[in-house]
Amino acid sequence: MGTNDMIWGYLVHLGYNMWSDRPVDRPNIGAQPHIRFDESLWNDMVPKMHDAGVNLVVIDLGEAVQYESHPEISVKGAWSRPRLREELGRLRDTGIEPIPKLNFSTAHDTWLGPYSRMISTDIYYEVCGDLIAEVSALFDKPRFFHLGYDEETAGHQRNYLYAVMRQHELWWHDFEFFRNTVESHGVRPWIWSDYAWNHPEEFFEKMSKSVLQSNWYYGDMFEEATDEREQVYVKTYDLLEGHGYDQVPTGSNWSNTVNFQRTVDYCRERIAPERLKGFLHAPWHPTLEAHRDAHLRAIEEIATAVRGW
Amino acid sequence: MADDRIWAYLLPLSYNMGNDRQTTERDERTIYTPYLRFDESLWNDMLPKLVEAGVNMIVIDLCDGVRYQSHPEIALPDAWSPEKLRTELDRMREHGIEPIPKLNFSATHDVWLGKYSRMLSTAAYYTVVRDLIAEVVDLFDGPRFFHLGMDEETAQHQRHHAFAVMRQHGLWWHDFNLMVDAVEKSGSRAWIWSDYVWHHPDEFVANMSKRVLQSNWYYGERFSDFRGLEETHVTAYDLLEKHGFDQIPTGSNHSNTVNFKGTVEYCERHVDSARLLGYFMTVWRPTTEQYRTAHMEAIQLVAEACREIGK
Repeated sequence: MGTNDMIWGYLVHLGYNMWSDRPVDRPNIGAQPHIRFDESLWNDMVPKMHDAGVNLVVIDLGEAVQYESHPEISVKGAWSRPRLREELGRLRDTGIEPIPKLNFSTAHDTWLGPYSRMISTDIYYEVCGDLIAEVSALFDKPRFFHLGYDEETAGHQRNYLYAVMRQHELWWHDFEFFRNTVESHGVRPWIWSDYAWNHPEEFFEKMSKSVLQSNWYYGDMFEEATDEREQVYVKTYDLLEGHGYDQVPTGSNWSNTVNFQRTVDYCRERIAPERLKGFLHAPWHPTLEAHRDAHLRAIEEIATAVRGW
Repeated sequence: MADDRIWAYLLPLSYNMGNDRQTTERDERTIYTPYLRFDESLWNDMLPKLVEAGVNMIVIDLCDGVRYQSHPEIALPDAWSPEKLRTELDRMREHGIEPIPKLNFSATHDVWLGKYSRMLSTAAYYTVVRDLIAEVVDLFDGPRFFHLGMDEETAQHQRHHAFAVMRQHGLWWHDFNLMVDAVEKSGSRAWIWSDYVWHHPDEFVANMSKRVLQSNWYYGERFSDFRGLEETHVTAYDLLEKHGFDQIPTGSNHSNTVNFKGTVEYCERHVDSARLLGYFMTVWRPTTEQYRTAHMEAIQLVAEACREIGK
């Protein structure tokens, strides 16, 4: 597989209300009633991403779009639908494929506003169905739709006011609802794969091959990892490959500067080309000037990986 | 005075306050059923024995066992009508027993709330909570107390649930205070299980109103030479006493036959009579013939403790 066939993806946050529903000590983690997105930084990032070889941007929309179906979710400064369409057009003109992401994990759905406290109710399913339909249309039937669906645990919500987890059959019930809804629009679902870490047998028995998998690991130790949990995270790439799933492995400069390249190296050796659809870089910083350096370094890491491919 | 003590017995009308899904990992009795689990044959036998034992208060865990006028959508198909409930309440009063309502609003124990158990801390939820409290206070003709439950709202206690939810930090208090306010506005006194204090003692003491009646609970055998968390659970009686809360300590024959007597003995020594309103026996079994023995044993244990105190 040549470089041109590979996805070199970048995760950008338009919305950022994906963590705590109350103020916490860590910067940016608490939800805000206004958009957090500096266009000056974004405008500088787009050409640099193009130059780096990025050919797909996953846009985490959250609360930052004035959805026609549910405007009550939007925060102050949220983009209008025409504004979003204009930006998607600009990305396409630059040779970058825009992909939507709405994270429906309960650990990351503060952006859903009142509906984040109505999980697994009729109202919730209706709202989520409406949003997926609207966003699929806004993106002109994208190739993929990233559903998030990561870290739905009590531990990840320990600092929230409202912690909720779908467990056992209910996690799958709701996930299948999302998968079927996305697929009904002719779009392929894409998720974070970390549910497999703690439920491997269940995951490989029930997860449809139609779902694109992004396992993620941000450490600097791979084959040589001695920590038991790190071994689980890394080996999940192998398990997904062993069970025949399509993958877009995900690295980051969140914790260090070597992870992305090492993710590429590790997965290139272990995942068959027909199932290795590409790589995703997830810096996890808001698209704000205060985080310019982290974003530009992340883009540079992709450029290096693309050159070395 | 011992004569003034409350000797209370917890009577589940419905038992839908446990798991929201079938699982072999929990006892069958804790699993939700779409029908009432209440055998009147057992209840009819229990009532005179409760009177003989000295029980003077019955706390009725209503759950989805009543066809509420404000929210009939909650009720089980064979739930009691308001008229049936009123008839039974009158019968208790005629026997000298004071009926007290209980609706457990803990997220761990609210499967009885139906769809509202998945809408906690929303405007719809608060409306339902207020409506139910007002209606139940009316059904009970202005009861002295209203038990709100609010125990065990943790991830660990919901690990076998399909839907697990916890109110944390300020939200637990926000919702709890809303419930207390609804109870007090209706002229009743809020009563809760006190186990939130086990893990949040400073927060509890700082935020808990003295107007709220406290039922700490502990069902083990040991009241000294503790193991594990037993000391935290038992000495919560002392902590509540130290900070001046009114208490109705709670024991059970859930795990053994010595706990209730041990609870009474411990609390008689550690809680001032001015704040020790009485004792509470909780069997934690449905009121069904299958559990007749457990209920009869519990009543006997109350009788023995009551006699002991009366000496």
